[in-house]
Amino acid sequence: MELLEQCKEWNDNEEYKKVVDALEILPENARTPEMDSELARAYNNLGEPGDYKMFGQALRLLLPYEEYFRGNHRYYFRVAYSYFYLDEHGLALHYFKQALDARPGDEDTIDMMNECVNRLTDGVVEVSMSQKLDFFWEDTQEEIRKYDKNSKDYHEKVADITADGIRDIFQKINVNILSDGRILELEAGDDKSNVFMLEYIKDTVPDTLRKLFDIKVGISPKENIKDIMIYEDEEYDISELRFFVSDDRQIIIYADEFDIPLEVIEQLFIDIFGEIDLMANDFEFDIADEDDFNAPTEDTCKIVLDYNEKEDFLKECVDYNGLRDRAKSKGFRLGTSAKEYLKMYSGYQLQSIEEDIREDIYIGTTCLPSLISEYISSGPFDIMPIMDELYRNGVMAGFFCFSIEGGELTNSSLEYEFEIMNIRNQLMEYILNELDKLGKTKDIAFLEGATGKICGYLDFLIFGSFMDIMNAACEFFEEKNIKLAGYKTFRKISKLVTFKEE
Amino acid sequence: MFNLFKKKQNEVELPKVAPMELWEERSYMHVLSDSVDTEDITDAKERIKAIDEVNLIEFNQKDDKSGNIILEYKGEEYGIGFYFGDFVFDSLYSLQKQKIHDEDFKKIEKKTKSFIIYMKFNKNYFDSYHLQLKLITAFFPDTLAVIDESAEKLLSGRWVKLAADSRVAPSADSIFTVQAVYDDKTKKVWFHTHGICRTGFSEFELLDISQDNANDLYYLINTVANRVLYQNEAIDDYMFLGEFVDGNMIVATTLPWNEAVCKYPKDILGGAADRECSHNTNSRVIFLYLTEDDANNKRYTKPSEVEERLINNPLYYYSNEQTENMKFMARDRFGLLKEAVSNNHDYTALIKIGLPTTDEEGNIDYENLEHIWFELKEFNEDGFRAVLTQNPYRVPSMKEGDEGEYTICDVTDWIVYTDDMRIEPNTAYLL
Repeated sequence: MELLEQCKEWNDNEEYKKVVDALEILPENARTPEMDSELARAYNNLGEPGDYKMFGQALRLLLPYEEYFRGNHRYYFRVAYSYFYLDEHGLALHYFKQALDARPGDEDTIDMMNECVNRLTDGVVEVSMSQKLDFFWEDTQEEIRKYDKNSKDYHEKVADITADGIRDIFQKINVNILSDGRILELEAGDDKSNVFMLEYIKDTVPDTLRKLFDIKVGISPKENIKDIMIYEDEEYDISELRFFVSDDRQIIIYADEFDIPLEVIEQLFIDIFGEIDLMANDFEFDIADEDDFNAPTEDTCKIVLDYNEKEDFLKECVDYNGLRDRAKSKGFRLGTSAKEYLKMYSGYQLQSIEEDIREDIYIGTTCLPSLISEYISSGPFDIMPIMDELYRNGVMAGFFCFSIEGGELTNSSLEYEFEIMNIRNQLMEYILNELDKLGKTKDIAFLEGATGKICGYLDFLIFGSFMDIMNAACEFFEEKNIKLAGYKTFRKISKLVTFKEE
Repeated sequence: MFNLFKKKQNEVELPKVAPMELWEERSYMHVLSDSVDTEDITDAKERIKAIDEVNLIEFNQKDDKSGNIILEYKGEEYGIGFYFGDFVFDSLYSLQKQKIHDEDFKKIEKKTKSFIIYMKFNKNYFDSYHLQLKLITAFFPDTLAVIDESAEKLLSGRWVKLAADSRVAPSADSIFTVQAVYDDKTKKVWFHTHGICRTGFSEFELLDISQDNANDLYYLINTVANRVLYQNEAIDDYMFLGEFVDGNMIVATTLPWNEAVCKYPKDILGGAADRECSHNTNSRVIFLYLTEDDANNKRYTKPSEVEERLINNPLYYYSNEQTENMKFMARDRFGLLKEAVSNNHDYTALIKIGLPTTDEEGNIDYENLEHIWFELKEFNEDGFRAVLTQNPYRVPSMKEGDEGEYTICDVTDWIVYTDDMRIEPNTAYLL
C-alpha cells in the first residue's frame, strides 16, 4: 500500500499518531499536498480543545493549498475545524460554509456551522482582552521584580519584557522601544480599530509599571529625516520629490520620473506626520510626473491639469522638509492625540432601507467607520478582517438595539430621532455608572450609533466585564417604555440576543 | 505597514461590489423532462453508479425528494444537491438559447416543474461541468432541455445527452455565454459574460462598443474568456491574445468593473446606474495595452478607442489546450458526421486536417502542424478522401486542389453544411 493510502487508512482507524510518525520524518518538500492534508487531519484529531499548538500546526500545513484543493470538501472542513478549535469562529464559519457548498446537506458540517453561529451570536470571547491583559500585567510585574532596579540596563530590560509580552499576546501589534526603554511605541497599523485596542492596553498599565515607562499609541513623527531612505536594500533619494498641498486636503507627490516605490512614500509620510495624524486627516494622495505635463492622460490629476507649465506648478510645491508646515498652513489638523482621534466621528446615510435589524438604518454616526463599512459590505459567511482581529484579541464589537413604544419613522421624524438619541445617551450613562462602581469604565468604548426605521442603535467595543455590561443594559431597558431591546455583534450571520420583547 | 493609499479611515464606505449570488458562485441547472413532471427518480442511483469513473459514496434523499449526493469522479470528491421546483416558461425569455428542435420546444412550453441540480465546481471545472451534465442524464434520461442558470443559457436535452456521453469534456464556450445589451439611442453595445464565476474566475465585459462593430468585437471578449478558462489562469497583469494586422500584439488586461466604469462617461450603457441590482459582483472589464510602455505604466486603452484596428482582420491565437479540445471532440463525434453525410447526399462537409510542416532548412516538423480545411469527397474503408481548399503556408509539397486519403487520426475539426445550417462537432446533436 502506498504511504498516502496507508495514512488515510490510519486516520480512518483513528490511529493518528502513526500518521504523524510516518509523515513528520519526511522533509517538507518530500510531502505532497495530499500528505500534508492527511497530516493536518491527524494533528486536528490529536489536538484537545484549548491546546492551540496542534490546531495551529494543522492550519499552517493546510493554508498554502487553498487553490490546489479548490472545491474539496475535506480540505475546507479540515481548515474550518482547525480555526474552530483556535477559537476563530468567524473564519471557521467561512470555511465550513465552503465545505457545505462542496458537499450540500452534510450534517456534520451543518452542525459545526450552527455551533459557530451560536458562539458568534453570543459574542462572548473565550478570554476577553481585559482578562488577557490582567494576566499579562501580573506576570510582567512578577518577572520584572527579578531584576535589580539599580542596574544600568534595568529600563531596557523592563521595556524588552513588556514589548515581547505584548507581541506575544497581540501578534499583529508592533512595539518599538525608544529613549533607552523609557517609551514603548505601539504601531497603529492599518486600521482605527487597532488604535482602540492600543489605547485600552495603555489604559490598563498598572501604576507600578507606569512609573517605569510611557506608552505611546501610533508611530510619532520624526525630527531628523534623511534624504536617503532604504527599502528592500535599495537606496532612494527623496530630496528630489516635491509636494503640492491643495486647499481641499489633497497632496500631489511630484517627481520628474517616478521610480520610488509607494512603500517608501508611505514610510516618508509616517516619518513626517506620524501615524495618528495621517489617520485623523485622511489625506488624499495623487502622483504626478513630467509626462503629466507633457502628455496628460485621463489619469492625470485635475490639479496638475490646471497648470499649463510645470514650472508654475513646482513654484507652489515644497520639498519633504516643508511639507508638515505647508499642510498645517492649509488647515490640516496636526498634533492630534490617539485619545482625541478615537472620539472623532463621521456621519453616514443609507439608501436601501429594509425592515430588519440594522438594515433599517437611514442615518448614523460612528467613531469606527471601517467597522461599519465592513458590516455593510459583508455577506453572512464572508471573512471579516476587522471583526476577526477584534475577536481574536478578545474584543466584542456589537450594538445595542431598541425599538421605542409608539415610535416609528413618521412625519414627526425629528421627535422620533430625538427620542432615539435621548435613550442612547441615557443607556451610555447608565452603563458607565454601573461600570464606575466596579472601576471598569474603560471596559467599553461607545462608538456612536444610528437611527433606523424601526430601531435605534448604540454601537460599542467591549474589552471586558461583558456580563456586567449586559446586565446593566438589561436593567436599563426593563424600566423603559421599549418594545424590543437586545444586542447583536457586527456580523450579518449573528442573531439578536433579546433583553426584552413585547 | 500603514494603508496610506488604499483606505479611508474616517468615512463609511458604501459597497459598490456586491457579494456573488448563489447561482453565480455555484453551478445551478434546471432540468425539464416528462419524468421531472412526475418527480420520478427511481433507478437514478443505479444509473449514477454506472457512470464511467464515478464512485458513488452517498445518495441521500429526503421525503420531499430533495437530497444530496457525494461521489468521486476522476479521483476528485464532489458534493451535489438537488430538489424539485416550479418552472415558469416566461423565465426563458432572457436566456440565450441553443437551437431546440421544434417538437421539443412545444413540449417545453407545457412544462411547469423543473428539477434543480447544483454543485460547486472545483479547479477541474471542465470535469465538474461534464459531471453535472452526466448526472442530469443519469437522473433523467428523457431530458428535454436544461436551463443553465449560471450561464443564463437554455440547453437542448439532445446536446446535453451528446455532451454527457462524449469522452471529451465540453468546450470552454459551453461553460459561459456572451450577452450583448444594445442601446438604440447611442448605438452602443455592452458585452458581458455569464457562467465564468462558477469556475473561480471573474466574468468579463466590454463597454461602449459601437453596434456596427459588435460582431467583430465579440471575438475579443470570447477569446479572453476562452483563454482564461483553457489556460486556467486569471489575467493578473496582461495576456497576449494575438496580433493586429500590422503585426503589433493584441495585449489584454482587465480592471474590476467598479474601477473600470470610472474611466468612462457616467451615463454610459453598463455604467454604475445599470448595476444597482445586477452585474455588480465579480466582473472585470477588458482593456488593452498598446505598447510595452503602456503595460509598464498601467496606461489602459479602451477597446472602443481602437475599434478600427480590432475589426481589421485581427489574428487571435488559440491556446494549445483549446486546439486539443477541438481535435478530440471532432474525432469523438466523427461517426455522426459520417452517418449524416452518408445518409444525406446533399450535405457537404469540410474537414480540418493537421499537416506536418517544413521549416526553412527543409526539415519536416511533425509537432507544429498546419491546420487546413479540406472538402470531403467520400468515405472509404480506412478513412476518407478529400480535396485541399487553400494553399498552405508551411507545407510546400501541397497546393490548393490536391486530393488525398486521410484517416480520423488526421482530423482536427469539421463542419457540415445542411440546407439551412452549419453544424460543428459541438452542435452535432443537430445532425
